[in-house]
Amino acid sequence: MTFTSPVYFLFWPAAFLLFYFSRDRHRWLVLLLSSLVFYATLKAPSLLIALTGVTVLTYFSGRWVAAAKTPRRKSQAFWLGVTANLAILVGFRYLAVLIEGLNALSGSIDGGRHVFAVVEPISIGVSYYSFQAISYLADVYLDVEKPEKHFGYFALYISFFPKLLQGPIERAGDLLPQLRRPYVFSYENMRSGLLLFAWGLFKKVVISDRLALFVNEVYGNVHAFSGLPLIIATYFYAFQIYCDFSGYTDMALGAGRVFNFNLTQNFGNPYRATSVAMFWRRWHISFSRWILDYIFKPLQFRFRLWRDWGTALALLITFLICGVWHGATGGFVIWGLLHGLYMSCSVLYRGLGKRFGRKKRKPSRLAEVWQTIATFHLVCLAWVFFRARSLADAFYVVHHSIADLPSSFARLAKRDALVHDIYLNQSNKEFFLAITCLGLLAVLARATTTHEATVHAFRRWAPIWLRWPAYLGFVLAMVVFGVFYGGAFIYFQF
Amino acid sequence: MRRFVARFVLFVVLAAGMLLAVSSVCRHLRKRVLDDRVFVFGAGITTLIAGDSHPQAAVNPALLRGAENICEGQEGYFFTYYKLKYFLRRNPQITHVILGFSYQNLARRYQELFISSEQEATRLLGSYFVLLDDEGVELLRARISNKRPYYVNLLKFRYGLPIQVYRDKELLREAVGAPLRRVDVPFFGGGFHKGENSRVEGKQMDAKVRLYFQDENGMYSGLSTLMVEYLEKIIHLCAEHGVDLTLYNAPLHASFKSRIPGQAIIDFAKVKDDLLARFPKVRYVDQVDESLPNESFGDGDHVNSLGATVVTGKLARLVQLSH
Repeated sequence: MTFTSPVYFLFWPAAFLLFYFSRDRHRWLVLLLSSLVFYATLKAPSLLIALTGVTVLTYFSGRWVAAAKTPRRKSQAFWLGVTANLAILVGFRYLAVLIEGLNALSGSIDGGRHVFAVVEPISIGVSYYSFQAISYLADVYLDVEKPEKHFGYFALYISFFPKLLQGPIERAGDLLPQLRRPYVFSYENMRSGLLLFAWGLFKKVVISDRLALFVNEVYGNVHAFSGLPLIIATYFYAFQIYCDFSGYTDMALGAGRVFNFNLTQNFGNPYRATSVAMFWRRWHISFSRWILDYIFKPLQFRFRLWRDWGTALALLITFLICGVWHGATGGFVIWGLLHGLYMSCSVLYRGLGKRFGRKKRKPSRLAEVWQTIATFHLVCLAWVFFRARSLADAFYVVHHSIADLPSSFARLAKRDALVHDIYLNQSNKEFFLAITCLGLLAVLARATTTHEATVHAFRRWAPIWLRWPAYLGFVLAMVVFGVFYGGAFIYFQF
Repeated sequence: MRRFVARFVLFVVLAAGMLLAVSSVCRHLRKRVLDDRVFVFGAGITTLIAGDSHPQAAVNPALLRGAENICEGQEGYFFTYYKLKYFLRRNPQITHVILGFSYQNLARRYQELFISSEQEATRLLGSYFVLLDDEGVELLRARISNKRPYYVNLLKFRYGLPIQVYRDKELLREAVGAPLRRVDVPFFGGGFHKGENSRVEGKQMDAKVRLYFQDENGMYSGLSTLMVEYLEKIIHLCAEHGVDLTLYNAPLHASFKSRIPGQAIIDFAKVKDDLLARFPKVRYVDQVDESLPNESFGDGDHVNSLGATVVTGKLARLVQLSH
């Protein structure tokens, strides 16, 4: 079950009604059981074992860390917990890759006989709750947070269903106090939760899954395209993954809001960023904060003597790890390295600017537009490696996007390649709908900082006689324009 | 809570009412456009050419007296059966059906791929679901691997929900009173495929033979009992309507035919002999080995318009003159 499964629309209200009619002291149990049922519907018992493992190990590690009498003991308990979580994470994320590699090494694949049994790689959600568990342990270790004594609340903190599969990665200090708070029905939270969920659903089924039609057509067989279609497909992918992931986040925030929980906003108009650093402050924010705090900062501290070069190296390593976390393939590694390079270069460039006495000035509007466009294209270049099926495909896209652009325009001038080169073999209706959707996103991005703010701004601005027809029109638009055959959320694989 | 529930219920009722109203309009329009326009041919049309892309490319209806080509590429007998069911019911003047009958029509993996595979089912369900009866719907539900396209199409075509209604050109044209263009109807296929090019390439033929006849391991995938079953249903359907049926094996390039697994040809021949023995009224016209120059082929397994002119002429002499 995911947020777009029909059965979720029965599960969510049922979970809420049970929660609402329970006593305060039993509400955590209702939510915990609901979360376990939600996770169990993925029909992968190993995932429930992983969730239980992470919960139990982190809970007891946290208690040991807090109870340790000496710093050495405290450190041991902390590292034990972190290692156990990492072992589970690596086991689930990379076991299949490892076994595949071992089988290939032993040369048994060609003979059709495997030395090790082939494992189906299912790891939905494991990364997110493992990271959350590690952040909890770090906060307890650094005395930022006290360890949670109530196992039930702790288990719910790890497994709360709206954020279980794809984040946001919640800090203990943000979520645990909310879980303990007595529930008081809030009309406002119900309304904003439902609106946010509906907006997230719209972004997934109308925008993201529509853009996927074009992207899959091109990236499924890149060699059939050259020049402009490769560029269009890459632009579309940038927005597909954004709407897919931010759509999921909006749905998660909406689902949590109904229970009076405020989860972390994960996105803030990332494609309006004027630098790659700003992009990462607006893209997958909870994950960016996590890698900043738990990977980058310790590395930067270790390399502090090298000053800017140390920071640049720390950034490079951090984003390399980030790439490997997405997958043990060349494409993800290069994606991470590219972002590491962008960030490192900006640090070194800033350092050089300071050395030569360049004063920091507020850039002009034109310069800001140029910076936004440049940042977007740098991010798109990295997306090519993220999306392509293989490294060879990715390099083909990069090379032929530029090299074949003139011939692509020449074909278009003769108007005999419109369907292939612009519509990417889809109908003109689908293409113009996709463009309209992107236009809508652009208007919203200009108007507000987050999509949640957009939803609330509309609600405050519009009177009820305008709001309700708009909501009904929104429902109808979702039915008419939704792509309901769409696949799973992109970030489930991570 | 009460205020919220009251407003929420009101909103749900309004939304449901709105969807119900739109669905009723869509259902009404769809029924009207199909029953009164798409399925109805003029009184002069007495012969239908049905099947997949082979007869679609080979039989030019303009060269036959009172014929219409209703073929569509990759259409299996399962879908052809439902298509013919509607056309024969709405057109009592039809006296003759020429049905494509070639080796790939009975190939198990290729044909059943269109019913069970997620990608193909998604594409074809959107085109053909509207034609299916309860039995066809149930068969699909049982076989399709990803149930989502099935349910989406069920909501769309059975209950009229306006899902992606902007794609249904025939419906939009009906709504604004524009004349029907059969090419807009997804299952109709746009009629005779007038191919002008000629590209007979070994690599392409190898790929097609693999697609048609081989399973994932590169072995001959066998005979589709489902397709044979639906072929028999078509024979019975034609008999019920008093329509003559001709099974037509369209020309293949010699090089293409030589690539087809021998077992596929044997299986095909067995089915053909069995059917002809059991249903003596069914005719079989074999043009598979028709001697045509390379320029008459669009590719290894389809003739182009040049080839179509030749083979349709011969077909007319064999079938229509004696008809």
